[in-house]
Amino acid sequence: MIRRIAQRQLLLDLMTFKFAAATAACVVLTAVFVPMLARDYQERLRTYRDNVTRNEVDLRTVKVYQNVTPTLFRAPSVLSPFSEGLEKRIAGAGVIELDKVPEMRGVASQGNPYQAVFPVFDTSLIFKIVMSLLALLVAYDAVSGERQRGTLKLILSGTARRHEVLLGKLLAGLLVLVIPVTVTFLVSLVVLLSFPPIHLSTADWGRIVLMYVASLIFVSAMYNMGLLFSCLTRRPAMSLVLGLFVWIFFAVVVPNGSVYLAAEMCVPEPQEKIDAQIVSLRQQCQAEMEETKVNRPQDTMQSDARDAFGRNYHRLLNPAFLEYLRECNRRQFPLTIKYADRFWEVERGRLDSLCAQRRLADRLATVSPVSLYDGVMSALSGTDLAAFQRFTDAVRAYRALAVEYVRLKTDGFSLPSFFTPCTRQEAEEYERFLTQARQIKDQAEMAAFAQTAKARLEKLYTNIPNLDLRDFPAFTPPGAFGSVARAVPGLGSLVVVNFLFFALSFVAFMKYDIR
Amino acid sequence: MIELKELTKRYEDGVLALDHVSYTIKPGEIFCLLGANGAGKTTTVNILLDFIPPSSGSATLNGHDCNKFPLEAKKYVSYVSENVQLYGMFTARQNLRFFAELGGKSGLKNQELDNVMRSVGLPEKALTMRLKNYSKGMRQKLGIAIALIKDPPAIIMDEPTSGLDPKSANEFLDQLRKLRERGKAILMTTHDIFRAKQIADRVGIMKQGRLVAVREKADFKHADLEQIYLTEMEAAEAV
Repeated sequence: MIRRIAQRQLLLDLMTFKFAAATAACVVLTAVFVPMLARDYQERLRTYRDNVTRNEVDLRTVKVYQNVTPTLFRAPSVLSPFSEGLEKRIAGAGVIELDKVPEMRGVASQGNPYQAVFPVFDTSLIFKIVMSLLALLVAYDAVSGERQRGTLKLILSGTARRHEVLLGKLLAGLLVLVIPVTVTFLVSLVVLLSFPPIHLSTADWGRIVLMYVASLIFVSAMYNMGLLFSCLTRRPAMSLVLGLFVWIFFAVVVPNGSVYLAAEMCVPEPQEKIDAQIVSLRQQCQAEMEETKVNRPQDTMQSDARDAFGRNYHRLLNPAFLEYLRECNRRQFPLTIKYADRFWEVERGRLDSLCAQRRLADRLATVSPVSLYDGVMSALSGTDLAAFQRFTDAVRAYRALAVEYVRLKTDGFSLPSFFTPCTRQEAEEYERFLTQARQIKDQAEMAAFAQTAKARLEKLYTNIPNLDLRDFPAFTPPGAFGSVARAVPGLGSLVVVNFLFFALSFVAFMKYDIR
Repeated sequence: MIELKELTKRYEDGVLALDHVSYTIKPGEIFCLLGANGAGKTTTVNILLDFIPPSSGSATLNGHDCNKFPLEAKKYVSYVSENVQLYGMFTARQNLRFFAELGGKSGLKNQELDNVMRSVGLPEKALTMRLKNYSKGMRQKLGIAIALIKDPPAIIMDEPTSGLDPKSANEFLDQLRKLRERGKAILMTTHDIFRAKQIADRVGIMKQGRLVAVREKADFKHADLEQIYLTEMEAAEAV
């Protein structure tokens, strides 16, 4: 009986204009916007690869350990055309500095700039708007429409039970909606894979399958919502109005209202308070620095050169200055690192409260299936807030590794290699050279001396050995598994929403007055 | 056979829609239920089809209680409603096949479906036409075809001639006569006293939930049924 009712309902739904129009809209929007998003991803990937290569080149040519300050870049998510999420709104790089907690910053070239101006429909947005409306339009007259046509009486005057009628309608509705969902995903994939550098790993394919499943569950939830209103009203016009009202509430009011509510409920620590704490810490730091201060020698001489990562270093120093800097670094650099961590603890409080505010907004928004779906899709795409947090956590953890590496290599920052490639012998030679130069009074003699020195200095400047950083720890970006784990609660909630709406529809239809 | 025993229905808002109504419709009999709006005619139909439960009493179809064993009871009845819209996007044949399958008649050939539609007077070209192009009369005929294809012993019709033009109404009555000849027990609710007089073997007159009178064919064959109806209504009013 269920099969017969489902077959008939399926045929009826497939023959409607709304189905054809919505399917066409999904395909057209996908065909128009996914290439734009894919091209944008291509551009961001190119920028990312250029940055990583430049960073690696710099790392191979760095001369002193204090200049080992690589920048870590967040790889753009290949699945961002499915759900852009916060992909382009959150920092894409973190600079590793030994004496500072990494600062996150944006990446210069973030793809197509016009996309910031015009709204871009990624797959999840297409589903959130077009498909959810189609689900509502398919369901709104499923029961009330039959009542108005008089066919509900005819159906129930036969041997069909009410629950069979409802299950038949649910089955047909879901089968109808599977078609545009599948077509949209297939079109998205075909378009995406037609862009040569885009490669999908096994994990990506797994996440795409999960996105497809999530989309089906979401669309089913919206269908069940429409079915509920159809079972609660006697006229299809009324169920449509109710459905659209609730759809606007779920798709527009809840996502925006939850942000406003969260901002009211969870106020972050004021910046002034953080600034005051930082000032106080800075004073403590200065006091401690003062205690460990090393007296600067009278006669300091140095000659600087350009290092990797856009930094400088002292190529040549006189022995006294060399010793002074060694002692300074040995005593004070660990202090700098300690305070960098304490500054971070203070700043982290504010960052944590901002993240907590955002998480609260997300939790409040879970009353809406649209927001739930949005959360699941951005989590699976790796474009949600948690993906950003995982990246920043990984960057900070990596900085700790880098600090430890340099500490070990430089014997607690005390070796000259930490701040200069100048050897003791070179320092002495440099001092002799400068002393000789000071003693020359005659211009012609000075010219001859400079001529001799130039060759020697050029040799010193051209033959600077690079640091051997082959054992420098490699950065491992967070894996994709976390995104799946983050999506699971949202997926579970969507399944619960489905059951809830259907259970309510069931109860309503059992009591439905078909007269 | 359709049988009502002391059937009573009081709605949740306190309205007494049926008040101890009893009658029996035998095979091969057409029983027309007359009455003003709100008299309880449609409530009777709704209870017989298990759309609503009775407050007390019983309604049976072929001996099966409509409230206690609705699925069993509904095997023996077909329903023709007042305004049969059906599915406009489907052809007559598709509509008929669907409702036939719901009535337990699956696997019917097109020829069998077409024969039933022809038997109710649908023209040849209408058999494969989409219902959105049907007139009300044609839809009503298809409604009867849907009732016939199940071939049950009892048929319930709720205001079936409402809105039909005279020609279509006469054709409809012809169909009813054929059904009577085939031994169907037919309950028809109507406002149309003229048609009721033409077709009914018995008429029941209802007022405010009560069956105030039942008249045999002999009582109104040569009399003015409308006058009988009005007299009975006035008498009920006086009571």
